[in-house]
Amino acid sequence: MSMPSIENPKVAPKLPYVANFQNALQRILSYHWRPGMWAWLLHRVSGIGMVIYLTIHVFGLRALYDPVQFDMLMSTYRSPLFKIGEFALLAIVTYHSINGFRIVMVDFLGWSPKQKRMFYATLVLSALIILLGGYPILAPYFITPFIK
Amino acid sequence: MSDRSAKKSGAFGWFMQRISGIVLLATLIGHFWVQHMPTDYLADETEYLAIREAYAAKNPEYKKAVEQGLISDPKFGEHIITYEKVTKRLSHPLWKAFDLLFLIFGLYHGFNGMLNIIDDYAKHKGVRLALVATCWVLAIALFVIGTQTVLTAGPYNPPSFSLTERLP
Repeated sequence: MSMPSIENPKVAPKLPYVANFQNALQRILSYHWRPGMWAWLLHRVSGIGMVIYLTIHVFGLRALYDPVQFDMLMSTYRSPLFKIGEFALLAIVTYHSINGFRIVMVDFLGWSPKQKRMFYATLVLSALIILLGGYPILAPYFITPFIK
Repeated sequence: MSDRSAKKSGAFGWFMQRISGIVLLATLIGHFWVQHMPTDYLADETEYLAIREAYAAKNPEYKKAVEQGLISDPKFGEHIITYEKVTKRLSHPLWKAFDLLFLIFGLYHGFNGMLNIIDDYAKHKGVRLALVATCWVLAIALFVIGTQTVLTAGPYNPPSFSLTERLP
């Protein structure tokens, strides 16, 4: 194995790789999961989730032409399961927004002193917003009934 | 590479993804604030019951749905999205513009992201074509449906004023 230099930059050695389920699983399990990878993966997965949600959301909102249809749909969305879904939506949206903001700052303003610390700050800020915003969503269903 | 023009490099898409993301951050906060947080844009328990009663008295279908439990009772401390409040908000042209902005930037950002993901994983030409076409069809359909919903929602009642009063 040659040492990385200017002429010979750090390149991963080319391993013979056969694409199959076992090899893919082995590769995923042996992968060194660094914070940057988590930031990227969570951003991508949450993004796909939101596109799926947006599609259902816009199609569902066609009910707005009729008060009966709309208020019936809203009653469906007010079941405990959907409330957990709403909370999950808040979590997904918040992470994607804050992490997206971090990406924009890195790209546009060159914020890159401590990448790992910035990602941890992203997680802490997201968690704070999710807890603050999640309380009024979940409280009438999962907290207040048990306090009364 | 000689063909690394602005169009092929994807720099425009990269830039616009960030710009649309910034716009979405602002509109998202507004949207979540009015539709998910306990503000005056949602109905609290008493308002909800009053709205439900008024609509049931006016609309027999609504009354039937309430009696069948399809338009359910409020929970203690709950803030509820209602037809009344949403259409009232959307009767203001600025809220219509806000929701349209949110819709258009959301669709652009979301489906541009999907195209990036397809670019990363789909290697087969036919698969790529199918996925990209699906994205475009879905995005255009959602744009048409969403725009129609926002524009037609809520009767727009401009504030009444007489021209003669304003003239000296």
